[in-house]
Amino acid sequence: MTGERRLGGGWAIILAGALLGIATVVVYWFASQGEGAWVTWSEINAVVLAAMGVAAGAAIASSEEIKRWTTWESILTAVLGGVIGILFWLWGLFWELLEFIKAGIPGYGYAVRDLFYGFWFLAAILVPYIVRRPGAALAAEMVGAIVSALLGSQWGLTVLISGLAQGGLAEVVFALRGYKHYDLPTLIAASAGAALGSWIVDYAFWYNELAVPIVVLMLIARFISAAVLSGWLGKVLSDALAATGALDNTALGRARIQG
Amino acid sequence: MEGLLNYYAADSFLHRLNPTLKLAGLMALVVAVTMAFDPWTPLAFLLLGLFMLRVLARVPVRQFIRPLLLFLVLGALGFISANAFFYTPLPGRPVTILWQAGGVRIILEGIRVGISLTLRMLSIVIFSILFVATTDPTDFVLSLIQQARFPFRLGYGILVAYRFMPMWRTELEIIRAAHRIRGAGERPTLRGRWEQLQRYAVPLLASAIRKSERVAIAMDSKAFGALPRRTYYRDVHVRPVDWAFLAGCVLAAAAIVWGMAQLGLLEGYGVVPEA
Amino acid sequence: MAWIDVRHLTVRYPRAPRPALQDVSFQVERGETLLLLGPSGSGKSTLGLCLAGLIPDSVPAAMQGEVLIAGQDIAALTVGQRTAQVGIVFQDPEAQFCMLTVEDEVAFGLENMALPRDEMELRIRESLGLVGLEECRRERVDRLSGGQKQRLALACALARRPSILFLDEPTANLDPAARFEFFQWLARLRAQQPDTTIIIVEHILDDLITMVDRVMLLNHEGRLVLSGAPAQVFQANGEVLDEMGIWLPQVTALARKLRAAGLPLDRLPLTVDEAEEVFAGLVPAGPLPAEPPRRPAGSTAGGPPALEARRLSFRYRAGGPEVLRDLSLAVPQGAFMALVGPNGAGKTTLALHFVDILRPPAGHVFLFGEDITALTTADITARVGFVFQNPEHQFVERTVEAELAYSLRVRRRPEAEIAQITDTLLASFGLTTYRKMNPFALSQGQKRRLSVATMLAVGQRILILDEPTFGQDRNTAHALMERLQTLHAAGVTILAITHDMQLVADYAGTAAVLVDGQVRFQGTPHALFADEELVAAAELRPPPLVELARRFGLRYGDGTAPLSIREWMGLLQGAPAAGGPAKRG
Repeated sequence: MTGERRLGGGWAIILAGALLGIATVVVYWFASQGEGAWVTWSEINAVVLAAMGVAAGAAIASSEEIKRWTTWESILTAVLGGVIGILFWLWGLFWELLEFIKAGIPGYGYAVRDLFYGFWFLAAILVPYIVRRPGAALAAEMVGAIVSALLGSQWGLTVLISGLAQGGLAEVVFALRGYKHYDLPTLIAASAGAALGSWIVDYAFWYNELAVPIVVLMLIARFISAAVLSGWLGKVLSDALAATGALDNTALGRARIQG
Repeated sequence: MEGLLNYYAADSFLHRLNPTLKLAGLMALVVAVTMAFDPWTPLAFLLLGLFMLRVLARVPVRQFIRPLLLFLVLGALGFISANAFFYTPLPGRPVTILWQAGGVRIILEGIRVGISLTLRMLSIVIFSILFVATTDPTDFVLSLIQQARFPFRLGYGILVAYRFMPMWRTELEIIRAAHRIRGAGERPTLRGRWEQLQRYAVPLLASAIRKSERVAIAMDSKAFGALPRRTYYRDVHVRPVDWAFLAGCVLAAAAIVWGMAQLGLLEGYGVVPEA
Repeated sequence: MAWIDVRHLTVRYPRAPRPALQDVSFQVERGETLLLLGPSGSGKSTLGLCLAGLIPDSVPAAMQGEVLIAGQDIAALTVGQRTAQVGIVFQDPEAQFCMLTVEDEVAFGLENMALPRDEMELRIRESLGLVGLEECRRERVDRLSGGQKQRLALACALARRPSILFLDEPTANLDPAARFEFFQWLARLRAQQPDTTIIIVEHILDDLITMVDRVMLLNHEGRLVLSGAPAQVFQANGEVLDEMGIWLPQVTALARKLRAAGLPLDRLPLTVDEAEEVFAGLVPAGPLPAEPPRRPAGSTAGGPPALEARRLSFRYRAGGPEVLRDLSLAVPQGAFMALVGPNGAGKTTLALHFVDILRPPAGHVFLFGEDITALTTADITARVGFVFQNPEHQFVERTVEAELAYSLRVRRRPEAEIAQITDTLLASFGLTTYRKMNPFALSQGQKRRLSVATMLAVGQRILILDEPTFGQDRNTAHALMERLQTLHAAGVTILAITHDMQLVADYAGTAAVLVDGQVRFQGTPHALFADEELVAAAELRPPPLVELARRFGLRYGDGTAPLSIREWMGLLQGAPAAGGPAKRG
């Protein structure tokens, strides 16, 4: 686990994300050109597609990185992702009650409800904070999504796509920080990445008919919520766990003891 | 774990399909239904899903009625009632008030939107049921590894997590009992709840982590991932019929969307019907 | 040439104050069965991890010295080659499997060797046959009993055809019947595969010692102090063993005590068979006293029972099996009662009724004569302490100190009083130096002490313990039992759910046997072990000294047999048997 290789993993993820992101936009642009184009160009669609491309690229590079993990890192990621997946599922049931907020406040109810959205990025923050390996954010968020889908979610298998976008963009943030910094600002930035990913998927699937100010407010609400319910909560929970000594053999445990 | 959805061991067309391609086919259906905003298209997909459950998967009704009913109730509570009370029409559109008392009123258009959203949710849920009920968890993970290039260590990690799930449930019950004996009452304040959540979460997670560590060492002691190659006792195959299923799902989705558009019932997909 | 050759092995974990193993050198021949003994923290498990080549790749630690297997330095081998030589069975049956079904689990270790499918099929069948699990092949792993799980772990190791088996406390989490069965299968295996070298770490030796060729003893510092044939090691070095709290087979411990008292024994027996020969000349010819010696009762007596269940029935869900069936049991004030019986007999279910976790109907459960349904939770928890099997489940605070103060704070006691009680408890349970530590970071023994201490903070007069000695080494178990003894002497009523027959024989004043949700017996441990039919029905394994008494036909006037070392000492020395518990070891 040399510094060099960690850096390598980071670059691969950034590079693959950037390439696939650009490629998607380029393909979209060509498809929208000329007479009888397949699709019509819109900036917001371009952003959506670019972000999906970045997430997919990060995912491809991450899955190569994960092959270099130790068994312990893999099992820990999957188990924590699995526990959080159960929490995601419970949060989904609670979420239905928020329908009243959404419908009760005309228009802006969406944004108010989204103040509770940030919990769904917890896996993408907590696990990389503990494991500190390239691919951890994406892997954990995907496991969480798979588990919550298998337990039975009202969004069914679409949560797999959300998981990919959320984990993928959080992963890119950790990669941009070189997989060396796991302070609160980085965690909050990563959770903002995840929030952006969630917003993009939801916009594409569910909300593309809503008025622009509402959609923008939703994004802001998710940023705020992500910072608290994932960024801060992920760190607090991990630190409480590390204090029990259970994480002594993880990157977080080692970092704590070295001070 | 006794989840809302459970694997139903049986032999059927869907049970025999390759899990990864089955997932891809069902995903296509889910994505197709997600893009529609009218009540009729989801209804069509819902009927398709029910048909697949009974005919292609031979899953008995009692296996899937519970989750469907739960989400029906959730949808009715959430979507239908919320929209019935609080529906806000697009500017310039009239609303039909069914009932009014003081500030409370029930709006017909709201109920329509609520029903549409509920049907959408149910049709999304039914494809998850289809997948979970007909897919052995071990085969699913092995297929992800063998066909979808899913990292194998993580795949086995998921199996370990899945094995742990029933234990977490019993353990949570024990922890709650133990804390009650300590005199830790469940306090209703926000702060009290937060502290209580931590009190449950920390021992539960700490024990899950310790167990994971021991499992990881046990797996390493059996040379997990030590060789450049590993073989599989259960080989999960891909056959032409799996690809045919995927193509069939895509075609079915296209046919439903196209048919609904022809009938003038489709909303979404950039289609807004005449008011 | 020795099959295993360890030279000057030193292993140090990161951040550990001292090495786990220090300068350990030894050799093991092919086909030898080696028993590894030592107090907890003496590096026994670490040795297994080294042999299997898991240090430093999977478990980070610094390793010096050489380990040679079949003449090859394992440092020069690949991970695959190293792990192929050694199969490990770990202690925890819940945490060594990764697959969902039995055959998949066995196949897992073979897939990692990249074996072809036909070969896997063959080996799965063969290895499951070796441990008697052929029938369970398609069973889900989580449906197996603890004993079956450990046998599955053994099958998984065997399928890989290792030349060395390392068994790391394989039966520590099993009940006595399952432990006995596990060793039976191991003995059979040893006969079938004489070439397999077996290294086993174990604390409870009675069922195991006959198959051991050699014993090796590690001390607190991880140094190898003794090595030799069992009789030789147990004979020559009694003091060393005592110091480390090594728990000997019961007959061996008795013989050592006799020898120390000046009786000439030509050798130390290891088994009941051998003991029968060795003690033959010592057993008194005359009749034994009319009654076994009495245990000192608690200081209080009389008044209503501390705990009482009257005609209690219970099922977990409507239509489910009846776990308690019209059960009545009274625990008198000042009693030290052991509650025993097979798994699933309803022991824990009953105990949970005494603390209102499972809610009894009115008029069925009484605390000091008061109906429990008329008491508040605060009243109940002020009278009864309940120690769960896993202490971690009870911890609610972040420091040891706060943990002890917790139930006092909940009751809004004045701070000065809280501080005073906390200090007293810290001191009397030997936890003062750890007061600022996180409870989860304590050692197993410390965690257990803390969980008992927290249950006494508000002055509880009844203590219920669920499997207090389960999965612990003998030193910690013994220390805990001594502490309970002290509490009992101070008048605390104790009810211990247990599978540990040594606990019953040495400490309990009375025993109650639960079978199928009903009390089948309530009386002294002597009377319990005298009833062979009952012992079989309750799936108990009586202490070896009871079996020995039967061989000699030794009986008190009331028909019961002497069962503690203290009693036997008295009998064989010709002195009257004194009461009270025998010290173990």
